[in-house]
Parts: sequence; structure tokens; C-alpha cells
Amino acid sequence: MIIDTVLEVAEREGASKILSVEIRVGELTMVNTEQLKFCLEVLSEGTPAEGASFKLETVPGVFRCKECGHEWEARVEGDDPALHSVFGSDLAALLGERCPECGSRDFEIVSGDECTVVSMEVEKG
Amino acid sequence: MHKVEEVDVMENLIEANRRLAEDVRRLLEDHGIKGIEVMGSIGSGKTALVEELIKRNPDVSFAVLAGDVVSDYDEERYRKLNVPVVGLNTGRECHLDAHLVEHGLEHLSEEVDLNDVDVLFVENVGNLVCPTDFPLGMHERVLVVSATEGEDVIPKHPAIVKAADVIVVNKIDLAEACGVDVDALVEAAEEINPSADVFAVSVKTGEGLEGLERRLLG
Repeated sequence: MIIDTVLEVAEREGASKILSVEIRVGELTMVNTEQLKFCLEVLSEGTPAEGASFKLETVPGVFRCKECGHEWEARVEGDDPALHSVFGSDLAALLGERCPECGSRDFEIVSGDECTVVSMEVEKG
Repeated sequence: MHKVEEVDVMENLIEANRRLAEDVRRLLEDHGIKGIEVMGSIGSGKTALVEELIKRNPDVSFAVLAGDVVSDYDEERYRKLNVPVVGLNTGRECHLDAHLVEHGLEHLSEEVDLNDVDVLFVENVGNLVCPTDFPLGMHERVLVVSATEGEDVIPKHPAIVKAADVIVVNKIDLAEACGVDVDALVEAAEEINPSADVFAVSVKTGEGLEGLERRLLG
């Protein structure tokens, strides 16, 4: 889907080559950025996006308390090794997280659940 | 001379699925259908649960979209219950998305007048990871885990637990044999997602199914 989007935009813009693509990935998605980068490099072979630099930026998870409305950024703290994955995902914050203001366990995700093609640098002519 | 240009795209692909899911939801509502997505691990009893709910409620008009990577085993199981069913094979993907469900509904409308359907079950591919990011536009997202998966299955997959509206802990009849404390599983689910309704059931013995039935079909 990402490559489809990138190629569609390139065609619409009349670009002959795609030099770089900036992608934003939410920390609370199930997307692994290292794997994604590898897949994009493989999938782009033989297309105008071949050799492009895929710049992946992660967006932190933000929660909102359903009780008091307080918003806070997901952060994995403490010494529990189970909370520190290789990629340091904010997903671990879903475990045992409480609103820092009122202590409620009932909160929703307000950001960190995106996978956005932000912009790209293309060559024309 | 080549000209290099910066192009703004701002295309959120997860959001694109959510928009399609909203289209699916509108379509269901236009036809007065209640949509129930069933997610869960492989072998947790998703198909058995849906089969049982169908059998126990002969007055409700059901239809099913049965998702799997390949094969039509589940589709055939549902067909034996005489409900309209469409199999959705993802081929490679480990989850359904709203686009596939839209196509599934098109096919379903060739089998049955959608206005005659009360409840649509969409059984997702067995997986506790990727379906989280791809809501399908259903009114309820039901997560099925089973006692045989061990006491850690809930905290190991917090994101899908958080995304569910209803959480079913199945196979409680086998819990003792597996050395698993059902209460601990239920408490872990409530701890991660206090908004969800959690039910401990055995599809095999029927224990606990009444409450779940009232919640989903009542």
C-alpha cells in the first residue's frame, strides 16, 4: 500500500525518479519499522522508487483518560525486562498504565496509531 | 537538467482503512444489520463460538464472512448450518481489512438479500497482532482467547485486548487440566481494558454462553 501510494503520487506529479520518502509510523501500531524499511526497499526494485531513501520517523503514543480527560505521552519506564522490547515499543505502556492525574485505568489512544506517507523528494524531467 | 522537487503527500494508510470501515458501517446500517467481528488466536475457538451462537438462536437471521489465509474449511462448516456465507481468503495477509470486507459483502448480496440479514459475523484470520490496526466497520469487535493458551496470553497482546469491545475467555472446561486460573485471565483482560465486557465460557459445555449471547445478540 505504501509503495502503491508513492508510485501513484510520482506518476501524478510527472516524476521520473523518487529520491526519498518520509514516512511516519505510530508507536502503537503493529508496524515494525525495521521490517517495513526492508520490505519497501525490496518492493521498490524495478520501479521509479528503486534506490530511494526511506526515512522512517516514529510518533509516540498519546493516551487520553476517559475519566478526567487528561492527556499524556506513553512512556515505558521501570526495570521490568518484559517492558523493554528490542525496539522499545510504546505498546508495552498499554500494560498496567494508569492516568497520571486521577489513577484511572480507563483510557483511550489519541495518537500513535498512524502510518502516514508524509512527503517525498522526486526528480522531474 | 533534472529538477528535484519536494511533494507533500500526507496519506495516512491506516486512516484510509478506517475510512473504508466507515463505508462498511454505513452499508450495514442501511440494511439494518448488526456487524460482529470475531478476532482471536489460531485454535481459540472462533469458528466453534460463532457456530454455537448460530445454532442456539434459530430465530435470528445470520450471515457470515469467514476469513482465512487459504482454504474453505470454515466456510464449509458454516454452510452446513444453512447460513449465507462467503469465504474471504487473504492469500498471504495475516488479517482482513475493510476493503476485503466490502468485497465480501458484495458477494454476500448475491447469496442473500442483505435486508433480510439481522446479524453478520466476520471471522478474522487467526492472529493476535495485525488485526488490531485494521477495524472492519463492525459494531462489535470480539476477541476470543482460550484457557489452553496459558495465563499470559492477555498481557502478551495488550493492543488487541485494548481494541476489543467484548473479550471471551473460552475453553474454561479445560483450564484446570492446563493449570490455568480463569479468574487471572479475566482480571488481566479487565486490567488492560476496563471498558470491555469480559466473559468466561466453554463453547463445548455451554457454560457462560447465556451472558455473552445477551451482550451480543440481546
